[in-house]
Amino acid sequence: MEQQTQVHSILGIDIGSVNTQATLIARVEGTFRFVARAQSPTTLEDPWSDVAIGARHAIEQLSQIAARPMLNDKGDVVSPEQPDGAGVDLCVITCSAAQPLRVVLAGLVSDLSLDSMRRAAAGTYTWVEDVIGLLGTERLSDEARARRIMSIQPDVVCIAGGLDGGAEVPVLDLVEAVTLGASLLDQAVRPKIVFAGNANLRSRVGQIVGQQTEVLMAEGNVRPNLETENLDPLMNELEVLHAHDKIGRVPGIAACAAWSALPMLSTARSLGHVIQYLSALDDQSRGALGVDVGAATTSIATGFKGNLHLSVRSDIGTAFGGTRLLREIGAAAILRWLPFELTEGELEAFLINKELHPLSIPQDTRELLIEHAITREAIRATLRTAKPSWYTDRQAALDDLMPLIDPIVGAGAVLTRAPRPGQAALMLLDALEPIGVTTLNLDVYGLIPALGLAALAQPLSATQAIENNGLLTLGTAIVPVGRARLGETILSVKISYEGGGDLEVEVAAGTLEVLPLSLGQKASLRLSPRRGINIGYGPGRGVKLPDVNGGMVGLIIDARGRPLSLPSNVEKRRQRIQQWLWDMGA
Amino acid sequence: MSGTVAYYPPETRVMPLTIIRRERLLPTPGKVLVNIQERLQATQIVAQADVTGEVRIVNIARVLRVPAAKAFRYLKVKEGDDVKAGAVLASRGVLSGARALSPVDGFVGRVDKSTGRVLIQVVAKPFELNAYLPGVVINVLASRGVVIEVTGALIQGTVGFGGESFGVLHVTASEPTEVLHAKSIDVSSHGAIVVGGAWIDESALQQGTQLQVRGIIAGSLEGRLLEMARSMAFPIILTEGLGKLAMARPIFKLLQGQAGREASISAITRTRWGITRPEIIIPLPADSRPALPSNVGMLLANNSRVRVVRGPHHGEVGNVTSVADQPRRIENGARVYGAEVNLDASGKMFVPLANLEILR
Repeated sequence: MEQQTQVHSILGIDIGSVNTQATLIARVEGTFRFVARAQSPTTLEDPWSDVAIGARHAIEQLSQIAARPMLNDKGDVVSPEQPDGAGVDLCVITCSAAQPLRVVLAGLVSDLSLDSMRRAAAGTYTWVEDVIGLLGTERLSDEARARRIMSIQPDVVCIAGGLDGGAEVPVLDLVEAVTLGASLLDQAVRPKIVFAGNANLRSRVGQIVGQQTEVLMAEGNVRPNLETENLDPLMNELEVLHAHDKIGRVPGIAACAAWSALPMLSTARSLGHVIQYLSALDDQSRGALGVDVGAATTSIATGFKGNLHLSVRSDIGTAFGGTRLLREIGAAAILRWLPFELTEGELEAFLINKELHPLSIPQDTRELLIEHAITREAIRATLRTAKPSWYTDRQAALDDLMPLIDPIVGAGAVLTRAPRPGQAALMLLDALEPIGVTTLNLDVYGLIPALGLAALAQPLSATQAIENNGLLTLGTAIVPVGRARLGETILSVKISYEGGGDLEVEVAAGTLEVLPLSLGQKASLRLSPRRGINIGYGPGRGVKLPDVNGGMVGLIIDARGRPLSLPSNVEKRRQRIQQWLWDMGA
Repeated sequence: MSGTVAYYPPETRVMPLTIIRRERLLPTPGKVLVNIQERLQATQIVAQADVTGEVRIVNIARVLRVPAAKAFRYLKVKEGDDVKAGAVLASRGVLSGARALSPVDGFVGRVDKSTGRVLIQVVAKPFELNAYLPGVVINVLASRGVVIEVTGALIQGTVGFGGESFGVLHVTASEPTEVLHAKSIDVSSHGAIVVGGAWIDESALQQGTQLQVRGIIAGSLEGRLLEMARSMAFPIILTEGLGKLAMARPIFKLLQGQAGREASISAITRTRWGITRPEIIIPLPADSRPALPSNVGMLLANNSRVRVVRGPHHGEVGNVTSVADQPRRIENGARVYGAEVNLDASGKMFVPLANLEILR
């Protein structure tokens, strides 16, 4: 705690695939607050090939904005803070610019060990290049397995299979085949093997792999028994490998690391820390969710009662991975969110041009809405990866829908730099389809990467910076769910403003409305759903919320229904999408 | 954010005369066939390597019906031995004993004593690496490849489809705005690298195949033709990107001025982790040794020569007249930092910094 009192200023540097952001958080009148931020293009590639250069560009800009020199003559961060105000007490570095780990998963049964490994791999920056199953329809010969390893040349092969005390021979066969494939590769490119299967086999696995390549034993089977899934040990091994073999090898990262007293962290993990913290606050009957749509990666972190679930899609971002998304979900899934016509060829051309010029931004509304459509589907694709790992925390009453979540935090430039706040709010609502009552926020100052790491040394920094308006509130969203005919009244809303005045509204099924409740304003709400309609407190149960904060958009009543459905008729669908944009002031 | 904006944009190189060096590397260690200071033809083979292909596993223990740990005692081969199909890998007994035979021609890649298995690797045809550039070998990287240097013009494209090629530049357009149609490609384009102006028409791709062109360079290509472009037997380089975009005039002028010369082109495009841009290299004689291209990024400043990479003026080139110190609102409502650019074709415009790249 003594160290905590000594820290007055924190410099966060987040090295992204496209941009590097520098954020200054400092104690102002005794509490941590956001002070300033700046960004500069990441200098990972030619002609720079050194991320420290981009970090210095961003810090120089930040120094200018905050009128506080932060670099010395050698270009290093000045720390601790000097008597004249120069420098900072703590510098923290997060990074999402590293290559993901290229992973092959090898297991016995698809819906057991392999599925569990898929979820574990999704917990950090990985690309699953192939899945080799020993049993099931796609049974391969030893030769074919070895060939696959040889042709893919992955960084890591994860092997699981066999419950603890269960199957042995097939698991060892799998290990042999993988080792064989690995041994045929040049020593420099041989994949490491991570074993997360039958714990009784660890020593025999070690013997089989021998000196052929490095083998790591996860501290637990991903499926110790039929009922239990244990993802953390494998996830931890993969995260350590990514930090060491990928982040650690980003050119110039060592120079940045030298500025920081704390170890570097991936941007997604930092988001996870903040969301975990938010989920442990206040009303623990609801989870917290953070979604970060970056240029190359989309991450979703959820916290339920302090338990974190992190899902990282390193293959989908707003600049890189658009064509990958297109192959995964098809053009129609993206095009359905547009209020105008766009051909599949034009969409693919748009995605490729964006990848060729990843820094570029849309100038007109048409291009902006295409980016927003891609963002919706990037989030939805990540959500599909994330959701299965929430099962143990899900609320039994609302099984087929999203669990109750409050707050939701959006991060990443496509959300936080949306020209109109209604656009960001609509993207979050369309993509996540939350239910009940939730608050939509944006990390407009880019605080989350810094706070997620700084909180490890300075827990107060995260609490105070967030409470001191560190996140921009878009508004409270009320999403009633239940069966109703279109146009039928399903909810009565009474707003009593803190400064006086009431507003009563009858909400019809199928509508999207924004009621006035602006940023800084407070009101109490009385919500009275019709019988059978649920606003998160049980079917037909109303609630009085005494202290609801306003936001940039206002109070959003999303009665469009869940799951969200769009008209199949193209013209009607485009009209509906346009109507929703207008409804949200977007 | 306020104060002077220091911005280092991405760059595209359009250089009439420079020194170009390219590393040519084998995919696996092999043999380098040329020497330092040797002058090369573009199509000359500079290195070759045996690339292994298929793998066959023979379970000796199972064939000989012996425990895995004892199988290696009966082996007749060792790791690295060449074997023919039918060659005896292991045998037990003298006359009628069991024998394990190699199923293919290849070499013994590995003997796994713990499992009693022998792995035979099939050698595919040798991989041959050509020089790509008609230049001089300035470095030999033992068993991996060479570094070749040439003086000439260098133009970086934006995206390409296909691999490398070498041939005479046949400029078919008189303006960078001219669309490349089939009729622009006649028999004189046979075996040449065709240079168009704006976008490539579908008929031009078909005609290019008919006349066996060695490559097409143009401004752009419509998205609907992507699959077709990817399936062409020759490389395609787009200087601007996808859509209907004219070629940037400075690029067109440089190509037009070198019509009839030979060029090495590479359409290989990689957008991350070791960006590889498609490129056009036109070897040229030089009276004196030109400078090596700088590997230091340039700060955007007044008079910077820039190209717009997105938005309504995509592909247009101009000079920066001022870098704005405050964000401004653009058409879609966003407030962004930008620069005033005097575009050659459209005059003075405010362009977001993020949508500019430096031409040098």
